[in-house]
Amino acid sequence: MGQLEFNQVYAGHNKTVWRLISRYVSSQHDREDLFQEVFLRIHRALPKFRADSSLSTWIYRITVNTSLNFLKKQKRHAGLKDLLGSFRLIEVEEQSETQEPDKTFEPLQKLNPQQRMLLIMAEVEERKISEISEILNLPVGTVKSNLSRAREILKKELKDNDIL
Amino acid sequence: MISYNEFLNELKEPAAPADYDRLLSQIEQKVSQRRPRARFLLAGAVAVLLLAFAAYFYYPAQQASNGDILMSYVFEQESLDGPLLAYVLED
Repeated sequence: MGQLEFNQVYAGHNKTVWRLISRYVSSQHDREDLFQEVFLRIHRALPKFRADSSLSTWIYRITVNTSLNFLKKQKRHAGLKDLLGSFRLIEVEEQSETQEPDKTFEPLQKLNPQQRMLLIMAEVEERKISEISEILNLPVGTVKSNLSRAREILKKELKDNDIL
Repeated sequence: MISYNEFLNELKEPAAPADYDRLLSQIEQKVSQRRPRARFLLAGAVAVLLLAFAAYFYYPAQQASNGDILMSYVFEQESLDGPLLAYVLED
């Protein structure tokens, strides 16, 4: 597929990708970074796309996996930043307005990236367990147990913060 | 006070708007920045392969030639595994 076709894919799917990643990451700045990363991957992989699955399923799969990697990387960086900050090796920057996370996401911070993705895919996007298992390449049992753990953690977090 | 389900409903609410045209131009910029790097890597890989081939063919040629001297090895009859008895140099 050429440049024109990438533009067609972009025009047809940009809103869906944006809606999905807005549920996975909390700040506008991160959403824009992740959005660009997803479409860069789509651009790279588009010549190899075979119509074994529908284009929207293929894009969904890329979006989910890129988002999961993004969340994992973000968590690693945050850990390193906290560590260096505690030794005063780096200045902890003030967050600008675009970097400020959406408050709705605060309770989700207690979940690890995989639990967070599983919970959103199952509870918000209402995907089937078998579908999630296939997309994330995880055994069904792992998806079920991690999802159950994620629900417990989230409910506890909402209760402890007197939100529930 | 919100319930677990209400919290999930909040997550389902529409996302903040995005400037899709600006994001597309940034993506296109990144794509064009990546292309020269890919070409450079490909050219480097081809150059390394050519050098490896040249070294492979040149090395045995150097080994076989020793000026004008021909060297023969003399082994015990019917035994190449046996001790080397002598070697003869001829012009």
